[in-house]
Amino acid sequence: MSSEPTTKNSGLGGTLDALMGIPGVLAGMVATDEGLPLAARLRTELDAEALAAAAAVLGQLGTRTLNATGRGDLEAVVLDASKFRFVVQPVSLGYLMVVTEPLAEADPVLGEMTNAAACLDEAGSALAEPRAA
Amino acid sequence: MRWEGYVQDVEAIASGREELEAYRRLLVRDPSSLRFAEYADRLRRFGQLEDALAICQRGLARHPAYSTGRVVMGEILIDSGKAEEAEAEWRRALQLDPGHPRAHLRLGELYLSRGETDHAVAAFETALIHSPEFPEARARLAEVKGPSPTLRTEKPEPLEDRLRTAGARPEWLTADRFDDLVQRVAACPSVEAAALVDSSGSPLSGELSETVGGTTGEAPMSFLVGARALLSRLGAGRPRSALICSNTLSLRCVPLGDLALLAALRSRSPVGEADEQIEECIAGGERSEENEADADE
Repeated sequence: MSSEPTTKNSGLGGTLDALMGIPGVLAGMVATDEGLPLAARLRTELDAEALAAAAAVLGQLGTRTLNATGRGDLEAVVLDASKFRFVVQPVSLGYLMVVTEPLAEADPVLGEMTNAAACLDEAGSALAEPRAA
Repeated sequence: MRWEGYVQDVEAIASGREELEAYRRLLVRDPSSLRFAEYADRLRRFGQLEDALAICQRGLARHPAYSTGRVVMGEILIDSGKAEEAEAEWRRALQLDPGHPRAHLRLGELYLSRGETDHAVAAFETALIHSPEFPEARARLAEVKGPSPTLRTEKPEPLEDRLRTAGARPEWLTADRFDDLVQRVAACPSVEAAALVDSSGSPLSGELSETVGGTTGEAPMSFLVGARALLSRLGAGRPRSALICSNTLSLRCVPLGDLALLAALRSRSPVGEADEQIEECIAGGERSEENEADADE
């Protein structure tokens, strides 16, 4: 497998589209800290709003666990369930979450999500910059 | 004689008889009781907002980090027409306990009253993720979103089923095998340290504290409890394992019925490799039981 990242900086939608191209990925989502969906791509019957809330809750649970250990800031949470795998990474806009099939390989997804998170952070800071007069 | 009549008052509260008076007497006897929040809530429901406010302020002065007290304070304030102050209290409650379902519900209702439907839906969804059977949150969400062919028609897993699921420890994992399992996992090339913890997070075998810091298994166990509620809400099955990563730590948590296996992974270990190694150790435990059964026969 090529180590070349496939995710390019093309805004929220483009970044999620790139993630949806990874084998086994069923959904991609960017949600705010409060669980509000900002952008979503779904290939499952899962509900976008419930998923967005789940992304924020998983991010918060992971942060609390790490706070208790005092060992650094959250980089990712992977939750393996019998029907799906949920992968969450914090980004400047909130949380990036990808849902995959339960047996999909975790490492390629995590690698691509790190690229995607960097793209989203860039997009987020562009959104935060004041418009030129 | 400070405690005289205490039991009768608790019974009166429980049965709903002379409720307000019983609460008042109870707090006179024990001014530090956390029941101030219940008392203030009852007063609020009876429309006695000034008294409710005074009781809640007094209680929160003693217990400023009591999240439910903050939620009740917000409810008194909103009933008094102070929406901004109420919102601040609910947000403070969520800082103290990010999973407080009633704080999420109340914030959702406030957003709804302001016409911020998207924020309201997110708040109701979050309340349901933390408490999948919360009827008020389900009702509010149904009001806003209407019936759906997927999540909202799905009944949550009954509480007793979830508890039974959580309590279903693998048959092979008897107390005499705890050390063997933990030693095997700790010996995996991708694993730095391992421990087996009970439902309260107390270690039964192994030690993580040197690797993971001064923690017990309480925080990872509470992660797994939260994850179980979240998956129930999503209809996504049961948690099989979780991985929580920072730049200096990767912590694998595997629920084994009412217990959890925790493993700190070596940095830069591929996740898939570590998973295979840990799964092999667990499968090894199952096989050893089968072998012992065969030998007995």
